[in-house]
Amino acid sequence: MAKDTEHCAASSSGDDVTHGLVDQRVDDSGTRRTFLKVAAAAAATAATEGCGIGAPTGEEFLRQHYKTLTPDDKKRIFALIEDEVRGRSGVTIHMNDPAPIDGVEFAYALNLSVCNGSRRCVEACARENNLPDDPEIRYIRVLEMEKGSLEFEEATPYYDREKVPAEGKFYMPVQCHQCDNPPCVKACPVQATWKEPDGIVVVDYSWCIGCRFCVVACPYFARRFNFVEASIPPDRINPTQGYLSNRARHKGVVEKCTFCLHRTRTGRLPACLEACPTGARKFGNLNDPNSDIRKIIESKRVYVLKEELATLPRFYYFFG
Amino acid sequence: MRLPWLAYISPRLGATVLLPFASLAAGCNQSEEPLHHRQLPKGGTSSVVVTVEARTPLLSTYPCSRCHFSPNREPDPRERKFTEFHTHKVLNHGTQGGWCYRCHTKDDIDKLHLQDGTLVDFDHAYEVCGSCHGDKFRDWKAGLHGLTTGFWNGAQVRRSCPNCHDPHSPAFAPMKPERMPEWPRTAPAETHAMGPEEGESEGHGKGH
Amino acid sequence: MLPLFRFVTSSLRSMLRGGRSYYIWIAFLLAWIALGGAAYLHQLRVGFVATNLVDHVPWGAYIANFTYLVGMAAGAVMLVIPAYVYHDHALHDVVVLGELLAVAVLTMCLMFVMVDIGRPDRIWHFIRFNWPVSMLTWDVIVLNGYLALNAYITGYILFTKFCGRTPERKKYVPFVFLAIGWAVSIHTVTAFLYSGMGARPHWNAAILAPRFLASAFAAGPSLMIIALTIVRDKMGFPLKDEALNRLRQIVAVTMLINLFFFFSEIFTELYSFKHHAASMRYLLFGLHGHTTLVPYIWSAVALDVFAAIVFTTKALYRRPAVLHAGCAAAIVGVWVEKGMGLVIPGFVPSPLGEVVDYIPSFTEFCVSAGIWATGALIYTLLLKAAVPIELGTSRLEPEAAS
Repeated sequence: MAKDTEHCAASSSGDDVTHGLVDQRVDDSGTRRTFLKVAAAAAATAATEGCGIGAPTGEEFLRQHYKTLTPDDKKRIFALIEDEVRGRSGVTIHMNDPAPIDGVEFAYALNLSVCNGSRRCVEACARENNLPDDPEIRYIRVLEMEKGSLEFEEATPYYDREKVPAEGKFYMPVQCHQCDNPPCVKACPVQATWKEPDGIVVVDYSWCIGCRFCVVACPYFARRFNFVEASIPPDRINPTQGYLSNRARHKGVVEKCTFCLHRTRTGRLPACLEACPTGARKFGNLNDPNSDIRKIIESKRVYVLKEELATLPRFYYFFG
Repeated sequence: MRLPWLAYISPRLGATVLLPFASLAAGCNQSEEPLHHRQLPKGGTSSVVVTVEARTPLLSTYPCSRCHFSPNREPDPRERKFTEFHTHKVLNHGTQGGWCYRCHTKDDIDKLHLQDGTLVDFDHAYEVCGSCHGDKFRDWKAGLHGLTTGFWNGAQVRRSCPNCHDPHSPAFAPMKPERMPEWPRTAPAETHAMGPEEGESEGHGKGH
Repeated sequence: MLPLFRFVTSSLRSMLRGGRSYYIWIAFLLAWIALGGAAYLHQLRVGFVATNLVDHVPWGAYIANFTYLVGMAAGAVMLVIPAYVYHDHALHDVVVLGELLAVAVLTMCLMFVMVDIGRPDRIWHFIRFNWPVSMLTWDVIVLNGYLALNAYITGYILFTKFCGRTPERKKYVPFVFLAIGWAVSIHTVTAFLYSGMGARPHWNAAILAPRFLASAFAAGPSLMIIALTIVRDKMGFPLKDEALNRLRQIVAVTMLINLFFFFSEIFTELYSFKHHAASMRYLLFGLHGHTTLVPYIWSAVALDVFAAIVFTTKALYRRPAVLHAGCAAAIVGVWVEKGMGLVIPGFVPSPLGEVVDYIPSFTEFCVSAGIWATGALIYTLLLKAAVPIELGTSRLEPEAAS
């Protein structure tokens, strides 16, 4: 680090720093059947809360696939979602849809030498991504591993200790690896999940039919199904919500870690990284040779989980 | 023909495999080069500005010279048990010994010093750590060691060494973990009570 | 259009005609359907929390039944192959009854897929098919195609017979041959659904598709033997013993092949005893004290072996009661072995090594039973309509024809 980049200052969360990366995604097709639009709008005005079996509103029922939404559609849908959340919980949220940044491909690295199994990442992720506590949904699973073994059968996520790390153990957090050859995307019968240009595998929660084939296909146990209509206490709702990341999910759909794309596509670091007390987590742009992540991949002995499956994860582990 | 599924198979495979079963046939091409080797592009636009988190605001007894001034408190370089002040400090920093003035400066108590005697202030304490722990210092400077928050390609705040490691006893302190994951909803009730130690003895604490 | 209208009304009339035991049977089925419907509404209202599925075991009873029934539907083709490829006239007479079974069973398959979907209101999202990479997309396409094929073939043959004409070969035989290939494809694709999962070593085996076909061609004809016997005894269908004997021969061979495939798989997994064998160990012996599936799979193996002995031993299969017991053993044995016995171990241990047991919930049981009852009802009604046409007792009135 050069002398000119270091400067003593009080800690700043970075929130106040202005940045020019927020950008509304512009649709590439622009074509769309007008009658559906009209029908959706008409249905939306007549939308009710369904008839007790959790039926979707008319707008939701007819909502198109994310990739066919025009900027106008998005504006309309975001307003409807904001209204819906305000009506249900009284919380004013800000729906947004930051676009992938040109030339940026995200990757993650995790230092197993320093991870101490504190699960701070797990809970920070839950708060950031509006994950429910009952029944619990968590994107990150921290495995307590036996030293001398990388075999998951010898590991457990159910450790409950006074202090970690425990003698003779090490800890391996596992979350979505944002594979470049994602078996989950191949499995989806309706293209409700896909890989974005910046490497993040996303789910259109309004398109997913809930068949759970992607859950079956994932070798990293990274996908979660909504077994009930989740409810988050209003004071725990994170109001900054991305359409493809942490917005409210309804029951019957699958969700997953998105590397906090509503944060990372606006330049910030993922919530799990910032919550890590040991600094075990590193994130950045794979295309930038000066990024932390590139330096790790080039200078450390990194490895990926289940390499033999050729899933090409974007999540590297290393001992450093 | 639009082939969206080729987009996430590597371009190399996408170009060579033209059958509809590209994903199935892809397996044949994998011997060419290890798939975990990514093509890492050159160039890039890094605009990271790192700020090291200050040390002094976190020190309750700083500046030291409030107490440590001559002739009131003559420096006592002897290794001893503290009975009056700094009683909570435990020195457990390597086996080579050394006492306060290995890092603190006898003649300028508000400063630290490197092994070559160069004075540094407390906000630059990492220089002192780095004068012995060269490999970790190198990683820390490169952003590979230690907690850095903020923007991945912008303003970053990096924790200084002593903000995570007590310099007198630098091993990272064990901590209470957050709650463990919920047992799968369908697990029989009695297994919920299973503690970690029991779990290890039989079946490594598997969920039911 | 008039003959078609008559065909429909006449068939409906046949369906309503029946004795006391027939109505009791229909009422029994309707009661199960009502229970299943209520259970499904409950599942829709509260979500999949009504099932015992969890993220570790995301598929359970519904998909297990689905997998088994796809085999059943494919098994119906075993009647068609000898009848049309080898011109076996004994089976020719009953081919339509076998294809009607395929129609009923496929309806059940599609219902099991529907109840397994978290958002059935979004089923129209299939307009964005993920073709050709998603095996589930393939499955939906081939199942609906097979349903349409069988509905067309049986509908055409029955309708022309109803009109008093002889079915024209060129109007249905090409479709029969297409259906033969298609029957193999539906079960192959269903097997690929599993064997394509690199993440699940238990399924990731080339033997899976052959094993699926072998077990399907054991269970399907077994069910046909029982169904045809009932049709003969209760509805007076003139069934030649030769036809039943041909089916019995088919089961004898396929059940032995099925057992051989299963044994090959067990040997490969257990002899090398690598970590990937954990699922097989869980299935056969239990893992870390979890033995949920152990009694089931050994019962299934016992039933399969019993069926194989019955179908190959003349002293046993000569007696109708023993033969029917053997058929039931084959049907149930394959159901356990290929349903829960295949689907669940694929999830145990989970990709991160957790062992989570699964037993269907009450809701899942009721919904599954309701779908089985629906299938039985559909097949009953179809037989009720088809048999009189086959027997010539239900014919288009001459004045209507002219």
